[in-house]
Amino acid sequence: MRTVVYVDDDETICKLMSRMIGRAGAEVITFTNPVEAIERINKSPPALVICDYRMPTMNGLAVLEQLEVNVPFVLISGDSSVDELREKGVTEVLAKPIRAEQFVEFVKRYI
Amino acid sequence: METLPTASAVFDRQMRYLAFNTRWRQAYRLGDADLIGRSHYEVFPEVSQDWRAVHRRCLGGATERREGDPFPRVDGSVDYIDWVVAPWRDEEGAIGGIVMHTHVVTERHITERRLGEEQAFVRELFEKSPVGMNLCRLDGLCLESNPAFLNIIGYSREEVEGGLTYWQLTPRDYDEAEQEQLRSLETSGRYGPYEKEFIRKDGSRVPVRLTGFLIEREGEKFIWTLIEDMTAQRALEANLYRERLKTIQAAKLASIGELAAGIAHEINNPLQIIDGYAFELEGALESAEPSAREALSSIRKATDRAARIVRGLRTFAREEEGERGDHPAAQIAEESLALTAARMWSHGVSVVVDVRTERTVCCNLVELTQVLVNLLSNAFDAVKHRRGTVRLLVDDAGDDEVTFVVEDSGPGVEPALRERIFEPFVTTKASGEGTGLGLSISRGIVESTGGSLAYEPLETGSRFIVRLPAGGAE
Repeated sequence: MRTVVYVDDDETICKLMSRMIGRAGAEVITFTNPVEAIERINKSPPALVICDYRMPTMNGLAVLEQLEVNVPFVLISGDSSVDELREKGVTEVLAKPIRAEQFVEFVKRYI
Repeated sequence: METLPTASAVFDRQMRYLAFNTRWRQAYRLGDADLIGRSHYEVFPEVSQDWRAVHRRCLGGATERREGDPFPRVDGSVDYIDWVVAPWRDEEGAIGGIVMHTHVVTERHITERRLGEEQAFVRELFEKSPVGMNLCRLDGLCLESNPAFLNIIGYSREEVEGGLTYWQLTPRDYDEAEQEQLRSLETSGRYGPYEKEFIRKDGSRVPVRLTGFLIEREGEKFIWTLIEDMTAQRALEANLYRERLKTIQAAKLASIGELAAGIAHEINNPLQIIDGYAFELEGALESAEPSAREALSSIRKATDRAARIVRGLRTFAREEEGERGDHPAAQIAEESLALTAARMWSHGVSVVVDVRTERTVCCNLVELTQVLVNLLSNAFDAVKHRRGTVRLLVDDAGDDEVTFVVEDSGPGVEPALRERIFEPFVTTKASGEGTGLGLSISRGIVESTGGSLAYEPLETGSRFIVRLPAGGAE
């Protein structure tokens, strides 16, 4: 089974999104601490990383910058300047809240 | 003769000196020359024909006098003389010659002339002063006014001198302040600087600043006042005040914007959670009551709506200025409504939306949304107390334009204000409800986008028309 890493400082969101990802048929590992997430991704690259943009200790782009492996990286952000984020290596940008069905379909495309 | 206060001399019929006094010698700078028996015209060859004629007339019996008569001397100087020339008669009553009493008044004459010149100079200062000047009696009757003062109050000199009083120029609302200034005059002899208004002849009021003092002339007291017209100063101050308000308002809007962006972010997480778990529940309740599933569906729809509103708010409050691009007119309308419709519904205001165009508009989405939100909010404010209707019509105009028409069934804009509603700080809303900035900012945005914003009165209500060039991607 392919693995998805989900990073968000909000634990309830992590719990919910891991259920959604499970529905898409993937295995999920969630992190509320970005540093731990980076460590895990670099050690064993997953099929997909989904990361919240606005987190108190480190923003989503900083997480991406510290990755040493090439994995699809999806940023959840309300920011509309998608082009700029793409240039920085972000694969896709999702706006929160995203409808559950859409999210499930979205994850399915990567696994 | 020596006791006479005048410089005097007695002549015979041939104008030869019979007698003269020391004053004569001194006044005409004759030194110690002996004059007796000599002709006056020999002593004073400069004596004019005019004088000689006087002598002849007096020898003929006339008495003549003159004051301040110039007497050009042989050395080039001029003496000024008051004089009397009269004939004298012998015992038989025949004219024996003439007597001349003269008084050299050169110094007095020069002093008087200087005084006159000085008076004229002071008068000129008074007449030409850019500051208004007025002399009035203690009861307020105006005596002397300069043109600057007349100009400020709009009366002619004749009207003022015909009995205008300070009190006719003073609005009643200054009664109390006037008492205070009068007390100051009584105790210190001066008053002001005192800012008040005068009522002009045409009834309008003019802001002025007065400074004055008591002045005494021939035992009577008067008030001397300097009057500055403060109209320009007031306009400047009002302008500064408006600029300051604008800055404060802009800062307030910016902080609200920041706050909104933060709030939007905080709301998105709970919305995500509500929608996600509602979705989970839908799956779990597949076999349950249809009403339960309907309830869940409603929850998800409401979440979706909340999410759209928050998204709109974020767009609206975004700090960076969005870039210009082609945006579907329908999307602009939808985003603007997402931010305003809920408020209208909750007040029982019906909202009618009619989008009849598929064109795009080349604009800054954030700014144009701001314009429509502003127009829709104004429309809402106009009808919120009367459960009226707000309409948003989006349509093609000509070959390459799009119009957004916002109508309301409110009371409309009163005719006097129609010309001015796009000016900053003009508002029809109650104090505290509107800044009066919305329409002026909106017009600025629309015009910078290459469009126009116009107002049309309706039979009942108002219509605002935003006309914009269509985008190129159509």
